[in-house]
Amino acid sequence: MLHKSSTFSSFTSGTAKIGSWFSHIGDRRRKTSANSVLKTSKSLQLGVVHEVPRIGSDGESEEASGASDEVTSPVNVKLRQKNRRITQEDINKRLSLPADLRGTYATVYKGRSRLTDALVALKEIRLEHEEGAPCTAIREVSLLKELKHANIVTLHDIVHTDKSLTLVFEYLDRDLKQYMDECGAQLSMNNVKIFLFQLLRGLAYCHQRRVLHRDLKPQNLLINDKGELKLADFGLARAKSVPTKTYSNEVVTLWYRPPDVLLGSTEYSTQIDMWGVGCIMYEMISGRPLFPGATVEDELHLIFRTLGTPTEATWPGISTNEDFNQYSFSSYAGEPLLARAPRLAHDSAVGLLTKFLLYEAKKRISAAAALKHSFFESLGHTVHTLKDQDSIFSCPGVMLTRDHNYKVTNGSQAKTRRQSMHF
Amino acid sequence: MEELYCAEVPACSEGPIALQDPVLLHDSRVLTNLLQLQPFTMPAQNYFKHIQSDIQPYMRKVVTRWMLDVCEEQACEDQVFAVAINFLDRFLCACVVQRTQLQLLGAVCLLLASKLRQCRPLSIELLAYYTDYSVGVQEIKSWELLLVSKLGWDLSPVTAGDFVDHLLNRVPVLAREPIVRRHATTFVALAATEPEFVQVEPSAVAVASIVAAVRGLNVAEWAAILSSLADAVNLDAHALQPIVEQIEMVVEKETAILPESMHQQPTSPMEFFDGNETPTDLTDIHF
Repeated sequence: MLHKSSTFSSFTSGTAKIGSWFSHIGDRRRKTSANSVLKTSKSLQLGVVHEVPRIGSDGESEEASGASDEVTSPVNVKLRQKNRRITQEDINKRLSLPADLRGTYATVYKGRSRLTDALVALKEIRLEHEEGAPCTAIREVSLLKELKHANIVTLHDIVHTDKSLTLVFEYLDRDLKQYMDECGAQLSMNNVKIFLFQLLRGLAYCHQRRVLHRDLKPQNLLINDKGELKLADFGLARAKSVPTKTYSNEVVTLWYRPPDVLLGSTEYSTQIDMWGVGCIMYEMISGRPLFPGATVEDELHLIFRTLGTPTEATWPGISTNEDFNQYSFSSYAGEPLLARAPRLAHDSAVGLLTKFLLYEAKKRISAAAALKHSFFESLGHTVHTLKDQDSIFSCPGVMLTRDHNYKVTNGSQAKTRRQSMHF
Repeated sequence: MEELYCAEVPACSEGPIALQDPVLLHDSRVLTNLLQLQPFTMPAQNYFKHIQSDIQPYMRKVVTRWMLDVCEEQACEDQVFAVAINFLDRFLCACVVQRTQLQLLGAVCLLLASKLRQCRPLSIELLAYYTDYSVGVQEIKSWELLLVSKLGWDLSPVTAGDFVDHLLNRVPVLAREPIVRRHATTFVALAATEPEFVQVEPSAVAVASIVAAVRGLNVAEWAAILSSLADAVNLDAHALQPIVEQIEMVVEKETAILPESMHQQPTSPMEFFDGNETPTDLTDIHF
């Protein structure tokens, strides 16, 4: 039995001075804006970046992520609420409230700093939500604040009022998915290497700092006009704090989700991100997604058909996995990846790819080890001596190839074509 | 009225709880890193002396005890309570508050800690309920960002509980005794409620709690265990002994107010429940 606040009657003298706290918040805001590159929102030239509502990552609607719904006005984006299972409590709440009032919302604006003239992306998270600041926002900020790397999107500033929390990010023109779409089909092998190397650099840095991204997909890899690639959207990231604690297995977008997680594993580590790297590598080389499954079963089916249905030899312990046995998949022998994408024969690409796409999570190559793979030999040696915050393009000889069909946009086109931005 | 009491279904106990990760547990770098990181998220000073004018140590005890009760009744993961207490102490180092705002602060700390460390956070409404609505939903919401900004968004503190398994693992005799772990984690939680431990390093609290658990179970070689654990966290065994005694006094004080029925349990005076939940049922009793 709890005594609740009756225990506090012993020290009640004077009334709560909440008002003084609001002035604290106000003070902090003024200070923040005076010290930072940004003035308050009035001095920003705001342009709305269109967002497409997405459910995402729980697999329910991610198949539609490539669809280009035309959106003409700013649309609130439902931040994902993973890690949740519906309980009676939720159902009760849902009965009393319209479903679309539940959940948290963010809008992304494009802005320009009056001081530095740099473009910034402003992610505004409204706090009128029933449960206050969304967990994803809190986790994202507390992690990103610590991550300073050339291949991770920079969080410049946090501005908050009692109504909203605005995260000020550096602005990047497009994401890898848009880049691939604009190329028509395939990226040049040189560009694949440059993008993959940067992705691995960013991930190796995260993993070394015990942060798992858990939601890798082309839409979360932002690319600027120089070709610099940066990891974004740490809303699902999780500090792998010590000791390990509860994780939900409903975290990675279906197409890039590793089979062990699809089969219900909750014991994952940094290797959770490496499977997705393999899928992205294949997609860049072949121009098509590797395993575009619509449901968990479909996703597993596509994986097994290509890589062979797992056996005790390829995946120790699989024969006793309940989920696996329930599905009763046919035994596929698998088909060579080279037959699906002949370009994989270049520069031992297939050798690296198969190291990402291993059933047994702990055997998958780490991000740090993958950086040393001979696939990247043509980038030279200096790429291995870069400091955390150095761009890969500071290395002599590393240059983006003009991709076939790829039009260098001057910004205006990118603005109108833009459908979604993820941070 | 007691018969009408209806226990709520714990909101947070469902869902998977990760097992201990042997890779992390057997890698000594983890302990080294924890020791290296702990100074960065410790309360910077004795806020009762230097910052707060209204808040007295006994008030902190009342609030922390209430926070522990909420965590226990909601079957929160044990980290939630530990992290919430760390937030509370660090906030009190940074901001002057009135005594009437202390429970509000406690509720906000629980909210934030549960958002960070649990799949399913505690709801604001529930927290307000546990204050008997003396704290409003709106107040909790408006203080949330005040709290994170005053903490500088450093939201992954090292707590005493983080050390327990790593330390137990160093002493093979202890690693095999689940009761030692249960008692030690309970003592760690109790220590967090006590104002006198605010400035004690989490590693020291962890060692002292384990040793107090060992002594409570009448293990003869406690002194040897103390010195090997002290070595593991680079502390002096002699300096740790008073902390062990302090923890024993706290435990004694708490058990003394247990209701009669609890005293009658013959073999082990303290039977704790298992698992990863907030580890104590000493708290079924009341002040």
